[in-house]
Amino acid sequence: MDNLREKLKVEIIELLNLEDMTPSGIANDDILFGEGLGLDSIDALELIVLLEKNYQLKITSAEDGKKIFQTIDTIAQYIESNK
Amino acid sequence: MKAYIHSTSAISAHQTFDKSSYLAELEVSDHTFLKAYEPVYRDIINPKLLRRMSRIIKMAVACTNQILTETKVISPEAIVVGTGLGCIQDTHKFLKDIITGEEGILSPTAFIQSTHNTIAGQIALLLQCPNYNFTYSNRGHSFENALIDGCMQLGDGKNNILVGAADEMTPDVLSILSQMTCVNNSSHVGEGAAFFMLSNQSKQNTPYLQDIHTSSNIGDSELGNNVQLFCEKNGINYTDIDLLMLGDSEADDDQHYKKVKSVLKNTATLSYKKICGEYYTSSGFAMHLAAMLLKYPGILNESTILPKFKESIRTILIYNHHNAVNHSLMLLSI
Amino acid sequence: MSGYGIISALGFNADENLNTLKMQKSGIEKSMHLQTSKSVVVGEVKASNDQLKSFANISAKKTLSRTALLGLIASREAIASAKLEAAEIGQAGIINGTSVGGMDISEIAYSKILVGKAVNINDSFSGHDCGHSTHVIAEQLKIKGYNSTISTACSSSANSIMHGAMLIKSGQLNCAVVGGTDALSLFTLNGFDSLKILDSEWCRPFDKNRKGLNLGEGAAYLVLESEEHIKARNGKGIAELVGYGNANDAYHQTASSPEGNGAYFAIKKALDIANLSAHKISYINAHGTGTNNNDQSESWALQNIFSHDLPPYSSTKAFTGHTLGAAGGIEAVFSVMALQEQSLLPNINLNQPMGIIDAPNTIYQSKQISNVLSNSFGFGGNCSSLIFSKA
Repeated sequence: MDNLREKLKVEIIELLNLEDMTPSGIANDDILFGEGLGLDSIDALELIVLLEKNYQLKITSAEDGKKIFQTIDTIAQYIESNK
Repeated sequence: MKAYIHSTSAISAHQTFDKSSYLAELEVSDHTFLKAYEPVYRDIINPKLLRRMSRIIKMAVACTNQILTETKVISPEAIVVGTGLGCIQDTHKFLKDIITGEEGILSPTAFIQSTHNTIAGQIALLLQCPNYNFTYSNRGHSFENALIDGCMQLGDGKNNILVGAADEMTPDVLSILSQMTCVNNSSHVGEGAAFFMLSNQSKQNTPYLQDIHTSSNIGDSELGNNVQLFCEKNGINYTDIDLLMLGDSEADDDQHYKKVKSVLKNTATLSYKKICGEYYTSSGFAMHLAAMLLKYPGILNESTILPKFKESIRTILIYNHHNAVNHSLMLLSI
Repeated sequence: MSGYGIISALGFNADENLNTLKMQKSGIEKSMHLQTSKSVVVGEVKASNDQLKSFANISAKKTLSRTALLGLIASREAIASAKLEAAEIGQAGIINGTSVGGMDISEIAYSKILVGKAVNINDSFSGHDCGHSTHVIAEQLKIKGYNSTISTACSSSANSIMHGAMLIKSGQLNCAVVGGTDALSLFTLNGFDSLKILDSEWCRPFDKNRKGLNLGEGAAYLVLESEEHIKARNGKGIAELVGYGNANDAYHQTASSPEGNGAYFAIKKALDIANLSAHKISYINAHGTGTNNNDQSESWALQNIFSHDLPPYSSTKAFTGHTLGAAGGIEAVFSVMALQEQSLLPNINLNQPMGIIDAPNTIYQSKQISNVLSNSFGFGGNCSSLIFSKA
């Protein structure tokens, strides 16, 4: 599970161009959207693409996306439970 | 109506952004085109915001930030930008993604960043500026269209107009361009950004744009007439012009540039594209360089790139054409 | 305004477009000419490029982008309808708006390059940029005055109209052909799909259950003249552009602010320039794309400007699709048609109103119309509004 979380952090930093962040700077339960990391609706779309391309998981609604992308933990849990 | 240039900032193939060492050194480029000499953006732009900015946006925002710092203007009353090819790097990326992914799932960021008015839009977003915001993309007149609109906004009663131009190049786009018949020499292809804060308020020692004229598809004879009429309209004799800035490369056998040189045969000339290279909005750089020469006499004394000019340059005429289609004359004074 | 021309999914000229509007018949269906693997419906002009070349008097052998062809056809109709003479055309300016440019050709060529096929580079890419269609129109129609190309996404041609008006008002031009053109392309289709704001079915502007937009294509131009110029040549004014406003939402790169601030300011500026109070507007041709975001944002802006005096309004995008850079021009022509016909245009495919403001008008019906407001809002927060009045 830890490897997955670390892998996700690396992928997200690269995908969203978070140049001034490092994986160790993102806690597993940090809120990703809004106040936390400050991600927005475009980033949500990018994460949907990431999940489909790298993990073959399709998210069809933005509402589902909101719940899944809350933290690194929630994303990892979603991936694990849909393997 | 005079448009006073309260501040100007440019990023080009040589060191122009840092005014303390303006064009001091020749930048040697190992790129196949005249790639922009860029500042460290993290020092100028909030790193959190940089992530959504492609290179062309960074150039434009860096120039804008420098201008706002110098003028202390918080919110321009208009933002007008010209770009010939727009955000071509992101355009190319998204197009490639569509083709290689066979219209499968696509990352939206490159698409969002590819629209031409992203440059002006991002500036507005950063400044939280709700005012007039236009983008022109009209080949070799992209900057001129933006400048003419900026001046019109001044005439309409607005003040502190941010006008600028930006174009970027990539190796992939260059490889296509260099195969097109309109490109004479791909090693002269350049890129860059040039921005201005225009005002209707005169200040001491402030250069101003006195007039601009554009025309399309004219022969050298008509060009000669245009130069004469342009000077007459502005009440200046050829001897009043201290410097003629031209968009030629010195080795050019170009009839249009030859004509202008023959009309102003006793005027010192400067071929500005040896600094910035050829691109749709290079005339923006020309206006920037002219404003700098007018405002800071002797600024090129340390330069190894350009010849020294006589101490007092007070009036500059700029002539450029792009592909013999888009022609422009600009008159700047101080 | 002395003339106009239009080509869209509703028809090849003004008469066809008007008749289709009257019949409340949408032009949105599966594409016949755009080669896409996506299962979508679009507002496509019902002609192949070869057919468009024939309409535009362009040789079939010449490579010309669909954007330029559409622009050429509509601008030619505009000039003819204004009955401009050759000398007047020669002095006129052209202000063109486009977001797509010649991408329809570039994207096909580039897909060949990527698999190692040979292409004619000049033919494929020399028309890629936005300025190309302006150049083609000016050259073919012999418009020799000032030319300019605006590219501000979905507000491009509305801004072209505004810019032409300002050039005439400041005395730099007496007469200008203003408007815009955009063709369908894989680039924009995939782009809007990646943002998940495309509806794979027929779009539903201002409907509570709307799911997104349908893309469309087309071109439309107006001929604008100063009062002196039109009098001097004994021309006939059809309508008057009395107000215009441009503002930036400055909220997000693509989304509009929930309260519609940019829209609010653009409409307000247009009313100020027109010297009209809000309740004098007889009909609004809304931007109304059918996306969750725009229709909500625009509704709030209309609520804040008009409050209890909201005039009848409609989006015509369920007819034409969202024609991107051409939308402002196409909807300006529709607005002028509403004035000429003294009729409200319908917002079709509405099942359940949103409930923020009164429901839009859904029937083509007679109404006394004096002033029409037309809205166009684009990416980059670019919001533009135009007001047309009876001549």
